[in-house]
Amino acid sequence: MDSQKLFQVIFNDGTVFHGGVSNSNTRWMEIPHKAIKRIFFLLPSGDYLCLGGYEKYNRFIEATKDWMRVGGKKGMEKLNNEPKIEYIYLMGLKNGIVTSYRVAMREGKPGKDKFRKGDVTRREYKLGKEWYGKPTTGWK
Amino acid sequence: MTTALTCRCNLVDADVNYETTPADYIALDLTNDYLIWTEGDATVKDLMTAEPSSGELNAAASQIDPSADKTVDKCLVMDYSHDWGGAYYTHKVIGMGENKRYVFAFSFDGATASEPQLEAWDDSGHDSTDNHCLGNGTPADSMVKAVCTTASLPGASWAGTAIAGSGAGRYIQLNNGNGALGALGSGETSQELYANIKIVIPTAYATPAIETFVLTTRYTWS
Repeated sequence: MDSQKLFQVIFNDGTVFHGGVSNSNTRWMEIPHKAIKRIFFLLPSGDYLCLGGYEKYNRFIEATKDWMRVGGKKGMEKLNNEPKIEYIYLMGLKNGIVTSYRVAMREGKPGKDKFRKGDVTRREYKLGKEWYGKPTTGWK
Repeated sequence: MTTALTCRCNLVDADVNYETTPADYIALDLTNDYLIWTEGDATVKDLMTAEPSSGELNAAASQIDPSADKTVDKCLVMDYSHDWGGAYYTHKVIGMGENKRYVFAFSFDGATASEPQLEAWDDSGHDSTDNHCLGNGTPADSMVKAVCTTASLPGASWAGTAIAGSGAGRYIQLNNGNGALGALGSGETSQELYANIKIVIPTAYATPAIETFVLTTRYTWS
């Protein structure tokens, strides 16, 4: 497998679709609408997470933009115009249940944050509650 | 493709949206610009010709009211590069805290995978809300009140949601609960969501403070 691709989709008909190489152009929305057998997702470690046997799949990026610091000059931190990627979500849907693999994309602060870059957290949600209790789009 | 977000403030007429009147809005340079919530005085005001000092900001700070909640009177954009409206560093955000709809605008240049949400944190680490203005560890007590105005006016004397952190009920959804943003229509370059935000200091609050915090928009793309 091309180790640079963000994901590789294997369809039931045997054909393959390769994702992009950057989270700024993942090609997720270009995946053809046909039955998927399994998807290999690239993790920050270079390993792959394989999801198969689901009815639908999703992959999306969660980012934050600190759009304003508020206050006076003293002690203010510099912000950045670029969004900060926090997590990648890899999801599979079966029987109304979403299995979510949340991949941390930034280093936590030692002793303060529970997660380090590359940590994967598996959770299950009812469909429509998979992101902060809200639905997501982009299911394939 | 990455969906980019541009944050804007209305400086002219909070009854008109960005789609029809983009010239009324300043796009914030997040590296240098910042907001100043202040009572204001003869020095700290709209259309300053220099960046206010810490001492000047202190002198113009809002005073805790012993007998009533105190809504901070003004919100100024500190436009470091003074690239809007001439050689001025500060501009008053029009409609802040009032029954106005088009005050803070969020322009997305594409689709999102979920509904964007507005949060407040101590700093860009997004791991604490210990500032007094964010509830001093109790997010429900946050003095920062926000309301989504994408679909309608906030209403007279709107209370808003106390925002701090990302716990349930302590942020606001920016698309009025209508979910993710779809793809742009033909010829469109952005789609806008709106909010109004104010700071309300509780009656006789015991701890005066000068604090900095960050407002954060959390969103997703495929």
